[in-house]
Amino acid sequence: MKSATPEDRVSRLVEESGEDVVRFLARRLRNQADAEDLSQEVYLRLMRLPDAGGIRNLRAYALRVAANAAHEWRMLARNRLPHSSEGLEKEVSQAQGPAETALHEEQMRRLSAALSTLSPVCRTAVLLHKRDGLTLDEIACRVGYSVPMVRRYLALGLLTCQEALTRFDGEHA
Amino acid sequence: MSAGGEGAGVGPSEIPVIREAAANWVVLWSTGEVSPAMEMEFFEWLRRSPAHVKEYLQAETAWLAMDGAARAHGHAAEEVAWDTDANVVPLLMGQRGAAVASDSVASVSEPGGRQGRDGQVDRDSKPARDRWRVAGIAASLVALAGVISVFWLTGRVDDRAYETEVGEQRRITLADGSAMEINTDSRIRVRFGKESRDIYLDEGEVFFDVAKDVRRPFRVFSDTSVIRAIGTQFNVYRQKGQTEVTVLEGRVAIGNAPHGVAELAGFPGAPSAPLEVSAGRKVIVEAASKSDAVAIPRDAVVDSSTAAAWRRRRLIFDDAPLADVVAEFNRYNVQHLAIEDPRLAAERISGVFDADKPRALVRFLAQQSGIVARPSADSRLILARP
Repeated sequence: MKSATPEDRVSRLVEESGEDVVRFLARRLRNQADAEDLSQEVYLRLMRLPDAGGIRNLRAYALRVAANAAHEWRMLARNRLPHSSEGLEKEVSQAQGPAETALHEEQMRRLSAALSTLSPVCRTAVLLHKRDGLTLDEIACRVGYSVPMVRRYLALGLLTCQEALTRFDGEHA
Repeated sequence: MSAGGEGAGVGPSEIPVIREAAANWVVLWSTGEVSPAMEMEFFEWLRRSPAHVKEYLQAETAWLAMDGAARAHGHAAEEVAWDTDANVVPLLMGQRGAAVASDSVASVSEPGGRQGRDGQVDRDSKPARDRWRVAGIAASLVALAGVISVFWLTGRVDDRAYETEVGEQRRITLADGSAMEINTDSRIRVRFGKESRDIYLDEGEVFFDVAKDVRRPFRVFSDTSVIRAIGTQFNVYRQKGQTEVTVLEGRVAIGNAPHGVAELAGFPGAPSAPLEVSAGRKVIVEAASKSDAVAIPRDAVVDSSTAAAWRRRRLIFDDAPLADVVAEFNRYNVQHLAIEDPRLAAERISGVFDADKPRALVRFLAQQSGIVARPSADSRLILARP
């Protein structure tokens, strides 16, 4: 078995700890201008693929591409080369400093407030899925709605929270 | 030539559409339901423009942030009261099947269950949803018979009464194809004739899905009010002193019918104009006197997911006083709850509850607010703070 390339390592990283990658991206995406630039770069990289046939998990792949692009940017900004010893893995798993922690707590409060504005069924669906880890079928059974409806409620909850986050980010830009 | 080239520019008006699509994708990925074909669709969607990429990444990061917020939100048992004793794994796929499993286990493990109904143990152990299915089959047969009789016996007056017990719900298909779902503890009379289709709601709550028949108005009489509909879906709840009409689809006209006569007169103040109520709205008609009623539009816009949730045996409360919550549960259950402390009665709760599980509500209140229940001499459960 040939030695693992940086790409393989990152791919494993995303599949094993997709959450960490998303958290890493969240930090990078906080600034809207950065988010647009990063998205442009990711878009171009995705377009270079002739087709997606060989890829096992397209979500993980897309997140990996985004994480790579974000990491390389940061390296370039620090005048270092990408894939240097400051690996993506290290950057991804970096813990937050105290300032970031306080910001994070405030962010959580805002999101919690946003959850309170949802309709009872919507909020219940979100809590059952996010907090208690129930499947769509289980949630549908509890709240008495169809699976497609529960999916719609989850998406609605997400959009509401996203709005709250955008406002929050705008205030702390 | 690759689609979009440098990235198709998107106008600001398209962003909400893309944002919504991104949210749907994130939910799909999160609930683990992505087929290979859908994966390809996702990839193609993502590659349509940088705006798609951006919205997707931002949706993913927001979804992740919600984990922390969901855990931090409120108390451990908040929002949904269900029977945690049941320890249920859905045995059958599909809502009704799963719910039946949970009900059966619940009645076995919950000796207190519905023992107020002496001599009806068999009925207690037969879950409500089984009754629904049986009623559905029976109703279809009745409907078939009704259709045939309409063809051959036009002009005959159909006069029939229906009654539901506490906790019972029935679905009836009428001779014209209209459907009625009768809620707990209700009494109604149906009188279909050549000129009109009349329903008399003597007590309780009914949801109507009215079939179009332009030759015969469909009218519901509740106390001194009459509600006329042509091809709509609406809910009528008659209580002491008031009738609540919620329209889900189409529109209805509500008028004063002081003598039970089908004159759709208007209300005092607008005698010539019956009140028109359209979809998404709720109106409460109060009996101002023996012969007069006053229509008060209230809670003008209704969330259609909450309106008539009772049809799924769910009670949905949004910041409602505990007194109202208890009153609602008592409509559906022989095991009654009661509150003696007026401050407790005024406390607010929100959530989605199973109408058949008053004890689950009690457990929820215990976990959420430390409220305990003690049985009273007349077999009610009194809720109080210890």
